[in-house]
Amino acid sequence: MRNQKLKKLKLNCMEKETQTINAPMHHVDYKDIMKLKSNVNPHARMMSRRRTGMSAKGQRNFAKAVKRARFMALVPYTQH
Amino acid sequence: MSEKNMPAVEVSSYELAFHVLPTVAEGEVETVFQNLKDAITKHDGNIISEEAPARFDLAYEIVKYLEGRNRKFSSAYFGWVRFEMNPEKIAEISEMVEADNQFLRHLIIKLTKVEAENPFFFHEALDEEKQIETVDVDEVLAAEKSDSEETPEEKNKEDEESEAKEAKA
Repeated sequence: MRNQKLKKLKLNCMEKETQTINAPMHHVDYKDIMKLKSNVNPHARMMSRRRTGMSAKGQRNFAKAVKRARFMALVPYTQH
Repeated sequence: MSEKNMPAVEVSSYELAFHVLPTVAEGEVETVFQNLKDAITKHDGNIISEEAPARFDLAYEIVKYLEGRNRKFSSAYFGWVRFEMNPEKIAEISEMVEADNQFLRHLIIKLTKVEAENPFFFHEALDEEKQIETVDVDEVLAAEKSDSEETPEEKNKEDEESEAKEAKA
């Protein structure tokens, strides 16, 4: 029983991994507002590369995604 | 490497995201979405994936000039379509959506290879986020304490069961 459970757990983990492997680290979708919100400060300004720890490419993609999301009113331009 | 030898780029993939006005009735949003998709296929577009519009509270109020006055909207039905289309025809789609008074705002982006390979489903992700429960830390700790008292017996039971099954096998 326990071994079977462990196997299932392992399989689940592997499936999840393969799903995430497909998307490269530097990719952010502009509709992924949770990911975007985790990298802006309480005033809704984008964090610097020093704070986000992203690669140059990742930061460029992130900045583009935030600007698209702001235009579509998914995330705010400012917050006070 | 002259231009003649290069393969002609006939289509590129696009994503059209849009807000349908909240004044449109809940049941009619689907028909608005269907009309939009029909228009895309009429312009020789090939729809790849889509997410049906659903209610979303906007991050800020959007003003739209309607029926002779400016009106503020704080929520809308947000959805998107991904499709392949000739780059020359994309402007027509944009103009069509702009002219349609049922849409509050729209955005057309040309997808890069990485973006095209990784579609993101907005409403699904939001629903998943909602399912994550917030729990009181004290309650969890108290529950864990009571659990730890019970667990040794349970473990023994499980071991016995698994041993019995192995013996049978």
